[in-house]
Order: sequence, then C-alpha cells, then structure tokens
Amino acid sequence: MGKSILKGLEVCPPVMKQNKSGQIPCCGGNFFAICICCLVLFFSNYTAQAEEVFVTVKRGMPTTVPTSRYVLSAIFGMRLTTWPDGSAIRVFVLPDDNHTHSLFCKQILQIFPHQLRTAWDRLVYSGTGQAPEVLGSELELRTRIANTPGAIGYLTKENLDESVAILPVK
Amino acid sequence: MNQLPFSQLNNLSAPLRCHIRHSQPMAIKALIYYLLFLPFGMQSKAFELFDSVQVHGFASQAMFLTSGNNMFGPSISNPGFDFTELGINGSWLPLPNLRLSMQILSRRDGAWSNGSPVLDFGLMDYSYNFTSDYCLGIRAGRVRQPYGLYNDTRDVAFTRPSILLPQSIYYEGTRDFTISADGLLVYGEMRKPWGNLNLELFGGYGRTDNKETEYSFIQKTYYGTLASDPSFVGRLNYETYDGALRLALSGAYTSMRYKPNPSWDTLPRGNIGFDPILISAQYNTEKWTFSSEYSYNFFSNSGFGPPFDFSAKDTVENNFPELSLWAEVIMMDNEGIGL
Repeated sequence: MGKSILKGLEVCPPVMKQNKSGQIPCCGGNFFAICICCLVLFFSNYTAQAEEVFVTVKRGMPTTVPTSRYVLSAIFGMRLTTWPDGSAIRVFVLPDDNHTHSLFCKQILQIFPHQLRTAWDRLVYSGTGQAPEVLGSELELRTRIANTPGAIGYLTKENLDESVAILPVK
Repeated sequence: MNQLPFSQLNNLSAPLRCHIRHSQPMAIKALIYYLLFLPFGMQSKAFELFDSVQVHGFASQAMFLTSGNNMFGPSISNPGFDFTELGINGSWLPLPNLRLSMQILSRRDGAWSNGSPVLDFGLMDYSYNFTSDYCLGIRAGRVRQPYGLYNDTRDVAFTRPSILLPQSIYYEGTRDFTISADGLLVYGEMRKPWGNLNLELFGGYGRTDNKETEYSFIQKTYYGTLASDPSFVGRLNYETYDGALRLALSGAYTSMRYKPNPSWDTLPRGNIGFDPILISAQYNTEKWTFSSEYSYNFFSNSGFGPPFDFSAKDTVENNFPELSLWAEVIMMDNEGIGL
C-alpha cells in the first residue's frame, strides 16, 4: 500500500493546475488511499494503547486452582480467601488510579475500579473482610508475587518474566 | 419511621422533584429551603503491622445550615458543626479462615453523642469454603447488622452516597440500635456465573443503652432504662459478579423492654416491638449509581396502657434514584404516613 500511495503522489502534483478543459484533475483515488492509510495508522495506534493484562500467580501453583472469571471476582473482591488446599490467598494490586489496574478491572473482572474499591470498603468497615495489599509499581508487584506463597496479582505482558506464572481466565 | 424532629428537603429538577410530607404540623411551616452540607472526609490507606494485620481509619466533618429545624445541634441561620465521625479499625487473620476484627468509633452528633469512643464492632469470623462456589461461616461478638444496602458501613462517609443516608430507612435516631448488636450471625454464600447469593441471619441483643434509642421509640426520655429482648435480623442479598446489579431483601424482629426506675417513674413496665421489612435494589454504571429501597415497618407497644399502647403498620416508602457523580449526590426521599 505504501508504494501505491507514493506512486499516486507522483501522479498528483501538490499544485493543482487546470487542464485544457478548465477542470482541475481529480485526485480522489489518491486521497482515498491516504485516508485509508491514516485510518490504519489511527487504529493500530489505538490497539497499541489497549495493553493486555494477565492474571499472575507465584510459580508452582497447583493446576487445580480456579480460573473462572466469577471466581477471580470473588478472589480479588476479597470474599474468597483460601485456595482449594486451604492455604491463604494473598492478593496484591496496584493503586486505584493506576492504568494497569484499570485495564485489569475492565478486561479480567469486567468491572470498574471504583466498584472494586467500594466492595473492599464494605468488607473492611463492616469487619467482614480485609483489603488487598496495594503496591506502587508493576516491578514491586512482580517481586511480591514471586516471593509470597499463595500470591495472586496481575501484570502487563512487558512485565512478565520467569519468576511468575500466568493464570489463564476461562 | 417518622418520629423525626426535623424534615429534609431535597430540591431537585424535574422529573425528580419531590414534595415533603411531615408528621408534625408545625414543621410543615418550617420548611428547610436551604440545606448546605460541606463534608470533609478522609480515609487512611491500610497499614499492615504484620502480614495478616491491617489497620484502617476514617474521619469526616460536616456542616449544616438550615432555615427552620436544627440539625445535630443549633444550625438555624448559623452554621452548625456538631457532626463529626472518627473511626479506627483493625483486623487480624491468625488463620486463613479465621479473622478477628474490631472498630472504635468517636461520634459527635449534637446532643445524642459527645464523641466518647465506643466499640462499634468487635467480632470473630470463622468461614469454611466447601468449594470455591460455596461457603459457610459464623460471626460472634458485636456484629454489624445485615440490613439494606448501606447499614453495614453507614458511619463511614465515603461508603455512603450522601452526608446523611435517607432518614426514612436509616434514621439517625436509632443508629446505635440498628448498626450493630451483640450476638451470633451465621452466613452462607453461593457463587455462580450468574451471580452471588448471600444469606445472613443474626440473633442476639440490640444496643438499647442510649437515650436516642429511647427517645426514638417512646418519643421522650424517661427515668427508667430500655433493655433488649432476643432479636433477629436477616438479609438475602443477590449481586452479579461484576457488581452491576444488587438486590436485597432484609427483615428484622426486634423486641425491647422498658424497665421503670424503682424509685419513681411516670411510665410503667412495657414492651416495644419494631419489625421492618426492606426491599433494596441498586444498579451501578461506570459513573452513576441508582438505588432504591422500600421499607414496610411494624411498630407495637404493649403493657404501658393508653395512650402508649398501640399496634400499627407504618409503611415507609423510600424511592430514591441515587446519582453519584464525584462529590455530587442527588437523591429523593419520600416519607410515608406517620404514626
């Protein structure tokens, strides 16, 4: 497509001159190609902003851990507090206004960050639960997940490494 | 519940405009046309002493300016600041399924509370997960009452949509009585792709050792004391796993005894009953929350003799579209016919 656009630009000079019949040559086809190119660039850029977030656990987690979306909602909503083997679930998250946290809420849990915060507050201030531990960065999040038994959190693709494992969401 | 010394006017644009009806004739003339709330609330982040110990806190200060009725102390024509809430709570998980939690609250609300710290809740919570889908548990101690959408955390400013919750459901005069009680609560939760179903049942004794509860139920403070008889509260709550829709059905059977002062009293021994049923619904979007609750209340007095003895139904309809957008809250509170 790039070569076609360049060829079109060669054919259609930047200064439009009237031809012998008094009409300005139409460059509609080249203009259409430029618009298509712009649209492609626009949407490719838009796609790059919507990074994918992965649910992440400490490496070595048993394969029987629940991975359904509604169960993950219960885990990150701090209502389900133990793994199937009875060990404690340690939930780590980023701040409410963090971009990755927002992506995680919308992509994985399909809720908004303020709804999650409201759910945590309801538990904390009624004495029926605790809030997750809030960390400052994805690097810190990855380190804590890798070093804490029973830990679960989330990371973007670029922050994944061998110290953590991805939990696929059904 | 309409034993209110005040009414509140919410001036809304159509189609949400509401009209105030009040049970006290004099208050009809004394409309509050200007009510200014200036809340200042703070919330602390969780502070972890150890891996399983968390400490949280909250603080809020409100200002009231009214035209015809005092609100939590003098507030007519001059601003009143007698509404302050300070709280600190801690929780500890000695075992993954065993939690101990406690909250101390200091509250100033006019003549009712002077800010002395009180135990808001203090409980032990043990739960057992049969699978990730089913859970049973028990809580013992001073437990928050499972009632409606907001009773669990009504003291915490940033957990409620307004400075004061709708008074027809969450009347401040009976706050101590309804917010927490001493006893045992059993609960069960079922989690499925179609949503979460949660049932909580409480049995115990309400907090009646305060003058505001006595005034709210008997409309006057007397020389004796109120003591709670065994009371029961329950709530069935349904919520979609994404939190968009929440439905709840709550009910209570509460009973109190008035114990006259042995030296001298104008009121004989008697029993007071308050049995409400509450239907709640809430819908959440990204920036808006819509809530509505309907309460059907049964009051009864017996043993006092005329004119105090009665058995009546008080239907309180509170339909309030609740719009939460940052710090702005718009709600409508309609009170039904009083006693």
